[in-house]
Amino acid sequence: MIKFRWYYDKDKEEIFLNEMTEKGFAMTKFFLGFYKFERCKPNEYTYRVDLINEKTERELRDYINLIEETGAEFVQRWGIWAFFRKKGEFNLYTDIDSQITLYTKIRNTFLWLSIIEIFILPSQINGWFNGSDMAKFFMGTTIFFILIIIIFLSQVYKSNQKIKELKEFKNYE
Amino acid sequence: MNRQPLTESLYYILLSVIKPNYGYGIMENIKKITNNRINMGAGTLYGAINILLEKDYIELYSEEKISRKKKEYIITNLGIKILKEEISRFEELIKNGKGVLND
Repeated sequence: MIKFRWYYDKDKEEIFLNEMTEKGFAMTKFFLGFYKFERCKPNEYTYRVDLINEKTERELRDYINLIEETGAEFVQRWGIWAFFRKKGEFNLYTDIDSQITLYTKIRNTFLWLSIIEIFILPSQINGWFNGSDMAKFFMGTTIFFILIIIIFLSQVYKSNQKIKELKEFKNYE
Repeated sequence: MNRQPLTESLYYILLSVIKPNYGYGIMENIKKITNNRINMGAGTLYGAINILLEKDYIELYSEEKISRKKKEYIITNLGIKILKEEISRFEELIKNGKGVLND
């Protein structure tokens, strides 16, 4: 079975994947929003999505080895994300400090991506209004970049909320 | 002393590398000595090991060259010093707590 979903929020993506295993479908492949599922026993696996953009290839290999030693499986990577699954209970981040670090990294990643898009935006707007016959194309890309910036910044906001919640829970503030 | 107290995770990892130990061995040891209370996730352990390496509280002991690369870590002298400081801080916490409650 193949399902199409488009997630920016890794927590929502995990919920989706784990709801699918509840129904007896285990994700085996991902490509550009297309999730491929194979039959499994209901609740056979727990899926986790992790941010890997700060790890070198070597560090990632070490990390995957460590995760596999715990009995979990590396399903695949996709850009800055990696998918893992394990039979039974499965958590990658089990204390508040490491959860705060994770969401801080996620926030910073989306913040950097937003900044890059913001720098690209003026050239698209310029293309739209400089009277060239490509105006329609640049109108499209302008709208596209604005949408992406809004989505990325909303992820920055969401991560910040999450960090705040975790810190409050930890009694920092 | 202006050093932050160790987190529970860092403290238990240090206790697990008094003798050379590798990732999964550290997790298993922590699970055992806390009677399954702490089942540390790989993401947490991986990050914590990097923090401890950066602070020079632990160091790389050996690396399996063949097949799977399993890295073993061991506590440094600085790590032992920090651990001792933490334990005397805990002793103070316990002494003061019990002192108040036993009155």
